[in-house]
Amino acid sequence: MNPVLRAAVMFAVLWLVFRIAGRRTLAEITTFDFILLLIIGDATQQALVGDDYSITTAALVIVTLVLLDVFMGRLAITGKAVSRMIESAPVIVIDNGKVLDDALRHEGVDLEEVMMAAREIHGLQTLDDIKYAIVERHGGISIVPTDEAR
Amino acid sequence: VARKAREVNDALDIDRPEAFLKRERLAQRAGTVVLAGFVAAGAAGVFGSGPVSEATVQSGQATFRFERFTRQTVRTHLEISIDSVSVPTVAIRMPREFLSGIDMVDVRPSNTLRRLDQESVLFEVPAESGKAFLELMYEPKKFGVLEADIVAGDQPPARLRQIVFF
Repeated sequence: MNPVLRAAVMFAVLWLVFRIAGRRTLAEITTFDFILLLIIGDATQQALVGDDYSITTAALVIVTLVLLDVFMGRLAITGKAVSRMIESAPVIVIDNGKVLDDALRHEGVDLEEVMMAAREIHGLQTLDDIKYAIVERHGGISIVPTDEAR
Repeated sequence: VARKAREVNDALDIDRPEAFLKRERLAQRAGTVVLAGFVAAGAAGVFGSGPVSEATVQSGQATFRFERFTRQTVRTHLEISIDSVSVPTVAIRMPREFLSGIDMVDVRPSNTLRRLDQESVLFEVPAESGKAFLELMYEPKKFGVLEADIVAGDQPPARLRQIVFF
């Protein structure tokens, strides 16, 4: 198959798989996630170039992937609906001090992770110190402390 | 509330697209089922190399074993065994069109003779103890359907049909 087409197909497959798997999949990389990332990279590389190790093919594949990424980025800023479709939307998991269990479950996040983010970013000690916790589009957790905890 | 695609919290200036998130979660669940099905199909051999993929076609005294599903440029095999052979060599005829769609990697036994005519390739396989066996190792060149009517000796033709994935 043509390298440009291979790159486009693999881009679509990877985008779809990670969109389905959810934003938290590789948001915080554990040792195992890192190994997984390497394996995915290796499997993708073979599918992208097959047995053609020429510089031309490598250049074609790289340029195709970068252009597709730029295109998706541009597409994401054309409107909110498209942006959500491509990159999802931020999800509030603690709202005004209230833990939203459903949202946590749907995002595959537990309170320990929220507390870890709270400790790391703001040095917060208890759940009561958190006013808002948001799972961002990139999968990271943002914390807004209460006025007292600031 | 769910139908409102955009709600802004008074304190936190952030979109709360509840309806979108609900649809997204549904889509993710459905997508997960599809991905799980894809993996299960792969494990079963729907894309080659698995129990579902192994095919056996019987045509008289000839048995053809091959992979129903295979992948482009990946090595696959066709085994033809013929029982109750009363002649020293068995001629196995394959259309040239089939052979032009593959890259032949190996032919066993190695002393098999090959002859070409206008439309087909003839493999002359030596028989031993009333049995003849031919194994072809090859890589399909194109994706799609690879089909051939193969005639082994005086047995009725057998249809080989392989789905080749890219």
